Amino acid sequence: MSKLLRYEAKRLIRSKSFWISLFAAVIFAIQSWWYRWEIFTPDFVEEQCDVLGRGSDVCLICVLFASVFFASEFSQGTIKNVISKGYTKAQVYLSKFLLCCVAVIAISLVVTALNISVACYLGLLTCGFWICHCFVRLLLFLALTSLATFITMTIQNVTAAVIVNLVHFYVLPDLLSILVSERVSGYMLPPVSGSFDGRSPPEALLRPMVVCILWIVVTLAGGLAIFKRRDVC
Amino acid sequence: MFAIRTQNLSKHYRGSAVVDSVNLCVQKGESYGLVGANGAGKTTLMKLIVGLAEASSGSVELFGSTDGRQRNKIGCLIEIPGLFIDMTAEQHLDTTLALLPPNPRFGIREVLAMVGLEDTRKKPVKKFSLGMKQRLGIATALLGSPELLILDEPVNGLDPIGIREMSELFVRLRQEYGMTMLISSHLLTELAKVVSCYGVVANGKLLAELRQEELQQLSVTADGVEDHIITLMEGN
Repeated sequence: MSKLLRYEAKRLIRSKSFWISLFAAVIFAIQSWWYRWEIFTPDFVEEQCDVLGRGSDVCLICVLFASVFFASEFSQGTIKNVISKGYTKAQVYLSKFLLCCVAVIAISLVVTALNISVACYLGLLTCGFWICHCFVRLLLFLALTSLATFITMTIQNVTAAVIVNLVHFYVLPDLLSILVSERVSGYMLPPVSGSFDGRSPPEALLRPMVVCILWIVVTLAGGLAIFKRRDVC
Repeated sequence: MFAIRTQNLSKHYRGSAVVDSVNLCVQKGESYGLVGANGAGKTTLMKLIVGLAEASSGSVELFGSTDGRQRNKIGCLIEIPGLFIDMTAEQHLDTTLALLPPNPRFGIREVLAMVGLEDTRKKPVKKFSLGMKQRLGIATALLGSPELLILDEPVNGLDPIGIREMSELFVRLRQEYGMTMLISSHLLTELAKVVSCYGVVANGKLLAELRQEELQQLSVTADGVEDHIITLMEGN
Protein backbone atom coordinates (compact mmCIF):
# COMPACT_ATOMS: atom_id res chain seq x y z
CA MET A 1 0.00 0.00 0.00
CA SER A 2 2.85 2.42 0.75
CA LYS A 3 4.21 1.88 -2.78
CA LEU A 4 0.79 2.64 -4.22
CA LEU A 5 0.56 5.84 -2.22
CA ARG A 6 4.04 6.84 -3.33
CA TYR A 7 3.01 6.20 -6.93
CA GLU A 8 -0.15 8.29 -6.53
CA ALA A 9 1.79 11.11 -4.84
CA LYS A 10 4.30 11.26 -7.71
CA ARG A 11 1.43 11.23 -10.18
CA LEU A 12 -0.31 14.07 -8.33
CA ILE A 13 2.75 16.29 -8.15
CA ARG A 14 3.46 15.79 -11.86
CA SER A 15 -0.17 16.20 -12.87
CA LYS A 16 -1.21 19.33 -14.73
CA SER A 17 -4.82 18.91 -13.63
CA PHE A 18 -3.88 19.28 -9.94
CA TRP A 19 -1.90 22.49 -10.37
CA ILE A 20 -4.54 23.97 -12.68
CA SER A 21 -7.26 23.07 -10.16
CA LEU A 22 -5.28 24.67 -7.35
CA PHE A 23 -4.70 27.81 -9.40
CA ALA A 24 -8.37 27.98 -10.41
CA ALA A 25 -9.48 27.57 -6.79
CA VAL A 26 -7.29 30.51 -5.73
CA ILE A 27 -8.60 32.66 -8.59
CA PHE A 28 -12.20 31.86 -7.65
CA ALA A 29 -11.54 32.60 -3.98
CA ILE A 30 -9.95 35.98 -4.80
CA GLN A 31 -12.71 36.79 -7.25
CA SER A 32 -15.48 35.98 -4.77
CA TRP A 33 -13.96 38.26 -2.14
CA TRP A 34 -13.13 40.97 -4.63
CA TYR A 35 -16.60 40.97 -6.12
CA ARG A 36 -18.28 42.70 -3.20
CA TRP A 37 -15.30 44.18 -1.40
CA GLU A 38 -17.00 47.53 -0.70
CA ILE A 39 -20.01 46.02 1.03
CA PHE A 40 -18.21 43.67 3.41
CA THR A 41 -20.15 43.01 6.55
CA PRO A 42 -20.25 40.10 8.99
CA ASP A 43 -23.47 39.04 7.25
CA PHE A 44 -21.69 38.76 3.98
CA VAL A 45 -18.98 36.61 5.52
CA GLU A 46 -21.72 34.30 6.75
CA GLU A 47 -23.34 34.14 3.34
CA GLN A 48 -20.00 33.59 1.67
CA CYS A 49 -19.23 30.68 3.93
CA ASP A 50 -22.56 29.07 3.30
CA VAL A 51 -22.17 29.40 -0.43
CA LEU A 52 -18.70 27.89 -0.21
CA GLY A 53 -20.15 25.03 1.74
CA ARG A 54 -22.70 24.00 -0.79
CA GLY A 55 -22.40 24.34 -4.51
CA SER A 56 -19.38 26.60 -4.46
CA ASP A 57 -16.90 27.07 -7.28
CA VAL A 58 -14.08 25.59 -5.20
CA CYS A 59 -16.16 22.54 -4.39
CA LEU A 60 -16.98 22.15 -8.06
CA ILE A 61 -13.27 22.35 -8.91
CA CYS A 62 -12.57 19.48 -6.48
CA VAL A 63 -15.27 17.35 -8.12
CA LEU A 64 -14.00 18.09 -11.63
CA PHE A 65 -10.41 17.46 -10.55
CA ALA A 66 -11.35 14.00 -9.23
CA SER A 67 -13.17 13.23 -12.50
CA VAL A 68 -10.28 14.20 -14.78
CA PHE A 69 -7.45 12.95 -12.60
CA PHE A 70 -8.81 9.44 -12.07
CA ALA A 71 -10.50 8.91 -15.42
CA SER A 72 -7.28 9.86 -17.23
CA GLU A 73 -5.65 6.74 -15.71
CA PHE A 74 -8.18 4.70 -17.67
CA SER A 75 -8.03 6.73 -20.89
CA GLN A 76 -4.21 6.72 -20.91
CA GLY A 77 -4.14 3.05 -19.91
CA THR A 78 -1.73 3.58 -16.98
CA ILE A 79 -4.15 1.81 -14.63
CA LYS A 80 -3.02 -1.40 -16.37
CA ASN A 81 0.52 -0.84 -15.06
CA VAL A 82 -0.88 -0.71 -11.52
CA ILE A 83 -3.32 -3.63 -11.57
CA SER A 84 -0.80 -5.92 -13.30
CA LYS A 85 1.69 -5.42 -10.46
CA GLY A 86 -0.28 -7.63 -8.10
CA TYR A 87 -2.17 -5.00 -6.12
CA THR A 88 -5.76 -5.84 -5.32
CA LYS A 89 -8.45 -3.62 -6.75
CA ALA A 90 -9.46 -2.66 -3.20
CA GLN A 91 -5.91 -1.41 -2.54
CA VAL A 92 -5.92 0.51 -5.82
CA TYR A 93 -9.29 2.14 -5.06
CA LEU A 94 -8.32 3.01 -1.49
CA SER A 95 -5.02 4.55 -2.56
CA LYS A 96 -6.84 6.69 -5.10
CA PHE A 97 -9.43 7.75 -2.53
CA LEU A 98 -6.71 8.71 -0.03
CA LEU A 99 -4.84 10.62 -2.70
CA CYS A 100 -8.04 12.42 -3.59
CA CYS A 101 -8.44 13.41 0.05
CA VAL A 102 -4.90 14.79 0.13
CA ALA A 103 -5.48 16.82 -3.04
CA VAL A 104 -8.78 18.20 -1.78
CA ILE A 105 -7.22 19.09 1.57
CA ALA A 106 -4.39 20.88 -0.25
CA ILE A 107 -6.80 22.87 -2.41
CA SER A 108 -9.03 23.60 0.56
CA LEU A 109 -6.13 24.70 2.76
CA VAL A 110 -4.89 27.19 0.20
CA VAL A 111 -8.35 28.71 -0.21
CA THR A 112 -8.96 28.66 3.55
CA ALA A 113 -5.64 30.39 4.22
CA LEU A 114 -6.65 33.06 1.75
CA ASN A 115 -10.11 33.49 3.24
CA ILE A 116 -8.81 33.61 6.80
CA SER A 117 -6.21 36.21 5.81
CA VAL A 118 -8.93 38.41 4.37
CA ALA A 119 -11.19 37.84 7.38
CA CYS A 120 -8.34 38.70 9.77
CA TYR A 121 -7.56 41.84 7.81
CA LEU A 122 -11.19 42.93 8.04
CA GLY A 123 -11.46 41.89 11.71
CA LEU A 124 -14.23 39.41 10.94
CA LEU A 125 -12.57 36.23 12.12
CA THR A 126 -14.75 34.39 14.60
CA CYS A 127 -14.79 30.92 16.10
CA GLY A 128 -17.63 29.94 13.79
CA PHE A 129 -15.80 31.18 10.73
CA TRP A 130 -12.74 29.14 11.69
CA ILE A 131 -14.70 25.91 12.29
CA CYS A 132 -16.74 26.37 9.17
CA HIS A 133 -13.69 26.76 7.00
CA CYS A 134 -11.31 24.31 8.54
CA PHE A 135 -13.54 21.45 9.50
CA VAL A 136 -17.06 21.26 8.17
CA ARG A 137 -16.33 22.64 4.77
CA LEU A 138 -13.39 20.28 4.39
CA LEU A 139 -15.58 17.32 5.34
CA LEU A 140 -18.11 18.44 2.79
CA PHE A 141 -15.46 18.71 0.09
CA LEU A 142 -14.27 15.22 0.96
CA ALA A 143 -17.81 13.82 0.81
CA LEU A 144 -18.46 15.28 -2.62
CA THR A 145 -15.10 14.22 -4.03
CA SER A 146 -15.60 10.74 -2.58
CA LEU A 147 -18.82 10.54 -4.58
CA ALA A 148 -16.99 11.90 -7.64
CA THR A 149 -14.27 9.26 -7.19
CA PHE A 150 -16.89 6.53 -6.93
CA ILE A 151 -18.59 7.70 -10.13
CA THR A 152 -15.32 8.12 -12.04
CA MET A 153 -13.86 4.74 -11.03
CA THR A 154 -17.11 3.10 -12.07
CA ILE A 155 -17.50 4.88 -15.42
CA GLN A 156 -13.77 4.80 -16.36
CA ASN A 157 -14.16 7.49 -19.04
CA VAL A 158 -13.13 11.16 -18.80
CA THR A 159 -15.99 12.83 -20.67
CA ALA A 160 -18.71 10.65 -19.20
CA ALA A 161 -17.29 11.06 -15.68
CA VAL A 162 -17.18 14.86 -15.99
CA ILE A 163 -20.77 15.01 -17.27
CA VAL A 164 -22.19 12.64 -14.66
CA ASN A 165 -20.31 14.42 -11.87
CA LEU A 166 -21.61 17.79 -13.05
CA VAL A 167 -25.13 16.39 -13.03
CA HIS A 168 -24.74 14.96 -9.54
CA PHE A 169 -23.19 18.18 -8.29
CA TYR A 170 -26.08 20.33 -9.45
CA VAL A 171 -29.01 17.96 -9.32
CA LEU A 172 -28.48 15.29 -6.68
CA PRO A 173 -28.92 17.38 -3.50
CA ASP A 174 -32.24 18.81 -4.70
CA LEU A 175 -33.36 15.49 -6.12
CA LEU A 176 -32.69 13.75 -2.82
CA SER A 177 -34.51 16.50 -0.96
CA ILE A 178 -37.55 15.98 -3.14
CA LEU A 179 -37.49 12.19 -3.31
CA VAL A 180 -36.26 11.28 0.17
CA SER A 181 -35.71 14.03 2.66
CA GLU A 182 -33.66 17.14 3.12
CA ARG A 183 -31.98 15.33 5.96
CA VAL A 184 -30.14 13.16 3.44
CA SER A 185 -28.72 15.96 1.33
CA GLY A 186 -28.84 19.04 3.54
CA TYR A 187 -25.38 19.69 4.92
CA MET A 188 -26.75 22.59 6.96
CA LEU A 189 -23.48 24.34 7.60
CA PRO A 190 -23.50 26.27 10.85
CA PRO A 191 -23.51 30.03 10.52
CA VAL A 192 -20.18 31.67 10.88
CA SER A 193 -21.10 33.95 13.72
CA GLY A 194 -19.91 32.85 17.13
CA SER A 195 -23.48 32.34 18.33
CA PHE A 196 -24.14 29.39 15.98
CA ASP A 197 -27.66 30.58 15.43
CA GLY A 198 -28.66 30.06 19.02
CA ARG A 199 -27.29 26.52 19.15
CA SER A 200 -24.17 25.34 20.93
CA PRO A 201 -21.20 24.59 18.63
CA PRO A 202 -21.27 20.77 19.12
CA GLU A 203 -24.98 20.64 18.33
CA ALA A 204 -24.59 22.83 15.27
CA LEU A 205 -21.65 20.76 13.99
CA LEU A 206 -23.16 17.33 14.60
CA ARG A 207 -25.53 17.33 11.65
CA PRO A 208 -23.08 18.33 8.90
CA MET A 209 -20.51 15.97 10.37
CA VAL A 210 -22.88 13.00 10.35
CA VAL A 211 -24.17 13.76 6.84
CA CYS A 212 -20.68 14.17 5.40
CA ILE A 213 -19.24 11.09 7.10
CA LEU A 214 -22.20 9.01 5.95
CA TRP A 215 -21.69 10.19 2.37
CA ILE A 216 -18.01 9.23 2.56
CA VAL A 217 -18.69 5.78 4.05
CA VAL A 218 -21.49 4.92 1.62
CA THR A 219 -19.62 6.06 -1.51
CA LEU A 220 -16.41 4.38 -0.40
CA ALA A 221 -18.15 1.06 0.29
CA GLY A 222 -20.13 1.26 -2.96
CA GLY A 223 -17.07 2.20 -4.99
CA LEU A 224 -15.01 -0.65 -3.55
CA ALA A 225 -17.76 -3.21 -4.17
CA ILE A 226 -18.29 -2.15 -7.80
CA PHE A 227 -14.65 -1.60 -8.76
CA LYS A 228 -13.68 -5.06 -7.43
CA ARG A 229 -16.09 -6.70 -9.87
CA ARG A 230 -15.31 -4.54 -12.90
CA ASP A 231 -12.84 -5.34 -15.64
CA VAL A 232 -10.23 -2.72 -16.41
CA CYS A 233 -10.25 -1.93 -20.10
CA MET B 1 7.96 -25.46 -12.80
CA PHE B 2 5.16 -23.59 -14.54
CA ALA B 3 5.32 -19.81 -14.74
CA ILE B 4 1.70 -19.74 -15.93
CA ARG B 5 -0.90 -22.46 -15.66
CA THR B 6 -4.56 -21.82 -16.34
CA GLN B 7 -7.22 -24.39 -15.58
CA ASN B 8 -10.50 -24.25 -17.47
CA LEU B 9 -10.16 -20.49 -17.66
CA SER B 10 -13.26 -18.88 -19.14
CA LYS B 11 -14.56 -15.40 -19.70
CA HIS B 12 -18.09 -14.68 -20.80
CA TYR B 13 -19.47 -11.38 -22.03
CA ARG B 14 -23.27 -11.28 -22.10
CA GLY B 15 -23.55 -15.03 -22.41
CA SER B 16 -20.98 -15.60 -25.15
CA ALA B 17 -17.60 -17.12 -24.32
CA VAL B 18 -14.64 -14.95 -25.30
CA VAL B 19 -12.23 -17.30 -23.57
CA ASP B 20 -13.52 -20.83 -23.33
CA SER B 21 -12.05 -23.39 -20.90
CA VAL B 22 -8.43 -22.62 -21.70
CA ASN B 23 -5.76 -24.84 -20.15
CA LEU B 24 -2.51 -23.07 -20.90
CA CYS B 25 0.86 -24.07 -19.49
CA VAL B 26 3.98 -21.95 -19.86
CA GLN B 27 7.16 -23.38 -18.36
CA LYS B 28 9.50 -21.13 -16.40
CA GLY B 29 12.14 -19.73 -18.75
CA GLU B 30 10.11 -20.58 -21.84
CA SER B 31 9.07 -18.21 -24.63
CA TYR B 32 5.48 -18.91 -25.62
CA GLY B 33 3.79 -17.39 -28.64
CA LEU B 34 0.04 -16.86 -28.74
CA VAL B 35 -1.29 -16.78 -32.26
CA GLY B 36 -4.76 -16.49 -33.68
CA ALA B 37 -7.03 -14.37 -35.82
CA ASN B 38 -8.33 -10.95 -34.71
CA GLY B 39 -10.94 -11.40 -31.99
CA ALA B 40 -9.82 -14.95 -31.24
CA GLY B 41 -9.45 -14.16 -27.53
CA LYS B 42 -5.68 -13.71 -27.16
CA THR B 43 -5.84 -10.28 -25.52
CA THR B 44 -8.65 -11.28 -23.17
CA LEU B 45 -6.67 -14.35 -22.15
CA MET B 46 -3.69 -12.13 -21.36
CA LYS B 47 -5.91 -9.71 -19.44
CA LEU B 48 -7.21 -12.58 -17.35
CA ILE B 49 -3.65 -13.70 -16.56
CA VAL B 50 -2.48 -10.23 -15.44
CA GLY B 51 -5.69 -9.53 -13.49
CA LEU B 52 -7.16 -6.78 -15.68
CA ALA B 53 -10.25 -8.89 -16.30
CA GLU B 54 -12.10 -11.10 -13.84
CA ALA B 55 -12.54 -14.73 -14.89
CA SER B 56 -16.07 -16.07 -15.20
CA SER B 57 -14.75 -19.48 -14.17
CA GLY B 58 -11.49 -21.38 -13.87
CA SER B 59 -8.22 -20.33 -12.29
CA VAL B 60 -4.85 -18.77 -13.04
CA GLU B 61 -1.75 -20.10 -11.31
CA LEU B 62 1.44 -18.05 -11.44
CA PHE B 63 4.70 -19.64 -10.32
CA GLY B 64 2.78 -22.42 -8.62
CA SER B 65 0.41 -20.20 -6.66
CA THR B 66 -3.04 -18.73 -7.20
CA ASP B 67 -2.15 -15.79 -4.93
CA GLY B 68 -2.64 -12.59 -6.91
CA ARG B 69 0.48 -11.08 -5.31
CA GLN B 70 2.56 -13.29 -7.62
CA ARG B 71 1.65 -10.74 -10.27
CA ASN B 72 4.37 -8.46 -8.92
CA LYS B 73 6.73 -10.68 -10.94
CA ILE B 74 4.99 -9.68 -14.19
CA GLY B 75 5.87 -6.97 -16.65
CA CYS B 76 3.23 -6.46 -19.29
CA LEU B 77 2.22 -4.53 -22.35
CA ILE B 78 -1.36 -5.19 -23.33
CA GLU B 79 -3.06 -3.38 -26.21
CA ILE B 80 -1.95 0.28 -26.24
CA PRO B 81 0.96 1.17 -23.94
CA GLY B 82 -0.15 2.83 -20.68
CA LEU B 83 1.81 6.09 -20.67
CA PHE B 84 1.55 9.40 -18.82
CA ILE B 85 1.41 11.67 -21.84
CA ASP B 86 2.02 14.90 -19.91
CA MET B 87 5.29 13.64 -18.45
CA THR B 88 8.71 13.08 -19.97
CA ALA B 89 9.80 9.50 -20.64
CA GLU B 90 11.99 9.59 -17.54
CA GLN B 91 9.22 10.99 -15.32
CA HIS B 92 6.80 8.39 -16.63
CA LEU B 93 9.19 5.56 -15.78
CA ASP B 94 10.07 7.09 -12.41
CA THR B 95 6.36 7.31 -11.50
CA THR B 96 5.79 3.68 -12.54
CA LEU B 97 8.94 2.62 -10.70
CA ALA B 98 7.31 3.74 -7.44
CA LEU B 99 5.08 0.64 -7.71
CA LEU B 100 8.07 -1.71 -7.63
CA PRO B 101 10.45 -2.79 -4.86
CA PRO B 102 13.44 -0.46 -4.40
CA ASN B 103 16.77 -0.96 -6.20
CA PRO B 104 15.56 -3.00 -9.17
CA ARG B 105 18.03 -4.71 -11.52
CA PHE B 106 16.62 -2.83 -14.49
CA GLY B 107 16.29 0.85 -13.64
CA ILE B 108 15.20 3.76 -15.80
CA ARG B 109 18.46 4.21 -17.71
CA GLU B 110 18.83 0.49 -18.34
CA VAL B 111 15.37 -0.02 -19.81
CA LEU B 112 15.59 3.12 -21.94
CA ALA B 113 18.90 1.90 -23.34
CA MET B 114 17.43 -1.55 -24.02
CA VAL B 115 14.66 -0.13 -26.19
CA GLY B 116 16.85 2.51 -27.83
CA LEU B 117 15.32 5.58 -26.19
CA GLU B 118 18.29 6.64 -24.05
CA ASP B 119 18.58 9.98 -25.88
CA THR B 120 14.93 10.90 -25.48
CA ARG B 121 14.49 10.52 -21.73
CA LYS B 122 13.79 14.25 -21.27
CA LYS B 123 11.32 14.39 -24.15
CA PRO B 124 7.59 14.67 -23.31
CA VAL B 125 5.73 11.45 -24.08
CA LYS B 126 3.07 13.37 -26.05
CA LYS B 127 5.74 14.29 -28.61
CA PHE B 128 6.69 10.65 -29.16
CA SER B 129 5.89 8.91 -32.44
CA LEU B 130 3.73 5.76 -32.40
CA GLY B 131 6.82 3.56 -32.60
CA MET B 132 8.56 5.43 -29.79
CA LYS B 133 5.48 5.08 -27.59
CA GLN B 134 5.52 1.36 -28.28
CA ARG B 135 9.20 1.18 -27.31
CA LEU B 136 8.45 3.13 -24.13
CA GLY B 137 5.62 0.69 -23.39
CA ILE B 138 8.10 -2.19 -23.67
CA ALA B 139 10.53 -0.28 -21.43
CA THR B 140 7.74 0.15 -18.86
CA ALA B 141 7.09 -3.60 -18.93
CA LEU B 142 10.81 -4.28 -18.42
CA LEU B 143 11.16 -1.96 -15.41
CA GLY B 144 12.28 -3.85 -12.34
CA SER B 145 13.41 -6.92 -14.32
CA PRO B 146 10.22 -8.98 -14.14
CA GLU B 147 10.42 -12.78 -14.15
CA LEU B 148 7.50 -13.03 -16.54
CA LEU B 149 6.96 -10.76 -19.52
CA ILE B 150 3.50 -10.66 -21.11
CA LEU B 151 3.44 -8.73 -24.38
CA ASP B 152 0.42 -8.27 -26.60
CA GLU B 153 1.56 -7.49 -30.13
CA PRO B 154 4.68 -5.69 -28.88
CA VAL B 155 6.01 -4.67 -32.30
CA ASN B 156 2.86 -2.84 -33.40
CA GLY B 157 3.78 0.48 -34.99
CA LEU B 158 7.49 -0.29 -35.19
CA ASP B 159 9.50 0.07 -38.38
CA PRO B 160 11.29 -3.01 -39.79
CA ILE B 161 14.53 -2.10 -38.00
CA GLY B 162 12.62 -1.61 -34.75
CA ILE B 163 10.89 -4.99 -35.17
CA ARG B 164 14.25 -6.70 -35.61
CA GLU B 165 15.77 -4.84 -32.65
CA MET B 166 12.90 -5.81 -30.37
CA SER B 167 13.03 -9.47 -31.50
CA GLU B 168 16.74 -9.51 -30.69
CA LEU B 169 16.04 -7.88 -27.33
CA PHE B 170 13.45 -10.53 -26.41
CA VAL B 171 15.86 -13.33 -27.35
CA ARG B 172 18.59 -11.70 -25.25
CA LEU B 173 16.28 -11.26 -22.26
CA ARG B 174 15.45 -14.95 -22.31
CA GLN B 175 18.99 -16.15 -22.86
CA GLU B 176 20.79 -13.79 -20.48
CA TYR B 177 18.20 -13.25 -17.78
CA GLY B 178 16.07 -16.37 -18.08
CA MET B 179 12.85 -14.37 -18.46
CA THR B 180 9.68 -16.26 -19.22
CA MET B 181 7.67 -14.70 -22.03
CA LEU B 182 4.15 -14.89 -23.33
CA ILE B 183 3.94 -12.96 -26.58
CA SER B 184 1.06 -12.56 -29.00
CA SER B 185 1.75 -11.44 -32.52
CA HIS B 186 0.45 -11.63 -36.06
CA LEU B 187 3.99 -11.42 -37.45
CA LEU B 188 4.63 -15.15 -37.34
CA THR B 189 8.03 -15.02 -39.03
CA GLU B 190 9.33 -12.58 -36.41
CA LEU B 191 7.66 -14.51 -33.62
CA ALA B 192 9.43 -17.68 -34.80
CA LYS B 193 12.77 -16.04 -33.95
CA VAL B 194 11.72 -15.52 -30.34
CA VAL B 195 9.41 -18.30 -29.18
CA SER B 196 9.93 -22.00 -28.69
CA CYS B 197 6.26 -22.92 -28.35
CA TYR B 198 3.05 -21.73 -30.00
CA GLY B 199 -0.47 -21.72 -28.68
CA VAL B 200 -3.07 -21.43 -31.42
CA VAL B 201 -6.23 -19.65 -30.27
CA ALA B 202 -9.53 -19.57 -32.16
CA ASN B 203 -13.00 -18.62 -30.93
CA GLY B 204 -11.73 -18.39 -27.37
CA LYS B 205 -10.37 -21.93 -27.34
CA LEU B 206 -6.77 -23.07 -27.26
CA LEU B 207 -6.81 -25.23 -30.38
CA ALA B 208 -3.30 -26.60 -30.24
CA GLU B 209 0.08 -26.20 -28.57
CA LEU B 210 3.01 -26.66 -30.89
CA ARG B 211 6.46 -27.07 -29.41
CA GLN B 212 9.63 -26.74 -31.43
CA GLU B 213 10.33 -30.48 -31.20
CA GLU B 214 6.87 -31.39 -32.48
CA LEU B 215 7.27 -29.02 -35.42
CA GLN B 216 10.61 -30.67 -36.22
CA GLN B 217 8.98 -34.10 -36.05
CA LEU B 218 6.32 -32.90 -38.48
CA SER B 219 9.17 -31.71 -40.70
CA VAL B 220 7.91 -28.14 -40.49
CA THR B 221 10.80 -25.77 -41.23
CA ALA B 222 11.15 -22.37 -39.60
CA ASP B 223 9.77 -20.77 -42.76
CA GLY B 224 6.91 -23.22 -42.85
CA VAL B 225 5.66 -22.47 -39.31
CA GLU B 226 3.48 -19.65 -40.61
CA ASP B 227 1.80 -21.89 -43.20
CA HIS B 228 1.30 -24.66 -40.66
CA ILE B 229 -0.35 -22.33 -38.13
CA ILE B 230 -2.57 -20.71 -40.78
CA THR B 231 -3.66 -24.18 -41.89
CA LEU B 232 -4.60 -24.96 -38.29
CA MET B 233 -6.54 -21.70 -37.91
CA GLU B 234 -8.37 -22.20 -41.19
CA GLY B 235 -9.20 -25.76 -40.24
CA ASN B 236 -11.17 -24.40 -37.31
